[in-house]
Amino acid sequence: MENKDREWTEQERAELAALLRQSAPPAELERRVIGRLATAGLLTRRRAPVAHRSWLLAAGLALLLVGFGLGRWQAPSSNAGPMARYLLLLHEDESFRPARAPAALQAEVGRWARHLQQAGELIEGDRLGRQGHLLTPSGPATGLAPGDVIAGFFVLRAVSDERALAIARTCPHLAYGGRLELRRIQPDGRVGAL
Amino acid sequence: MAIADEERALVDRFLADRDERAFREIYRQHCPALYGFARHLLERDVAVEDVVQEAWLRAVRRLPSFDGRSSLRTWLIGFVVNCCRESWRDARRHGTEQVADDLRKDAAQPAESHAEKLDLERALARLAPGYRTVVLLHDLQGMTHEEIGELLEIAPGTSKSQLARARQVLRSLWAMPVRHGGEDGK
Repeated sequence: MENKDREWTEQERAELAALLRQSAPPAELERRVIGRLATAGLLTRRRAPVAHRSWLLAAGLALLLVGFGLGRWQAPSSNAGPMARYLLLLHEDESFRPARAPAALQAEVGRWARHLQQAGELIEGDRLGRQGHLLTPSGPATGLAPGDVIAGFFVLRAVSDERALAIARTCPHLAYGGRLELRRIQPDGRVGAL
Repeated sequence: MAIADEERALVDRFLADRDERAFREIYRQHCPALYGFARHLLERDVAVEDVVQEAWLRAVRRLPSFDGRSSLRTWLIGFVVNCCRESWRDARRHGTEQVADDLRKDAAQPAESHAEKLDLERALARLAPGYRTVVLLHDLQGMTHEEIGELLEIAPGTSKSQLARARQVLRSLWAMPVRHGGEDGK
């Protein structure tokens, strides 16, 4: 056999071994994997310490406020079966007080959304433009009234109204003084009050 | 306690009540190797986390059938390999990447021109997927040709010849750093 095909030299082996060591998995991946396994019923979660969960109570409403790019989340279709869909509207009025830099808020929103998505409880979400059109039966369309602005929305998937409410309460928007509106999406297409 | 016994005990501890703490131990022992393997095999950073996550999901589903004939690491790597292959097929279906579908039919050739020499990571990425797979499994993960053959559904002899060719191609692409007296030099 040619020299080229011989076993690796000691130095070559060292270089190869070093290559693997350079590829540490991101810390976030562990949480994703655990969440996915728990959702699939393959792992029993230990109750997280309060401190560990605190970030959930903060997160990302930023999207609404700062008019920043939430981007768009669209969860893969789930075999969740009889779970209902809920529309979560994020209201932003004078009580809304963004306290984070836009990038930090965006990251918070991302974590919150990914957490729900990985748990199969988020179908999609997006922010809404601050400008819009108000249409009435007569007359031209007008701009939106100032004041209470719906700045974003999420479409959740939950097994019950109680679960949907529990999810909504973790929405970071609340932590910044924002208000949330939760509505169950009726299976027949009519949106009804919860 | 032998390593295999410790692995078995940890797996059993997890399976007993699906204990999160036991799983985290398993994860932390093996995920760096699985992630590194997937990252070098896939070339596309964006897909690596999804692939590794899916591999864990499948592996945990099948964990009750883990019989200890191979090490747990080798067993887990098998799920990563299969998920990577599916990722390649998906990418090809969506026209985003040209990848050989059959790992046994790779046709990478040694570099004819040695004008361009690459560092190891880029040289490895330049290998055809089948060659890259065998190099990673054998030379980085320490799997035997028998294990590779079983995993890839090829004969051990094929794995051996693939490895020889892969090394030949890799050497033709790879610019090894020159070291003198323990100091780096070029």
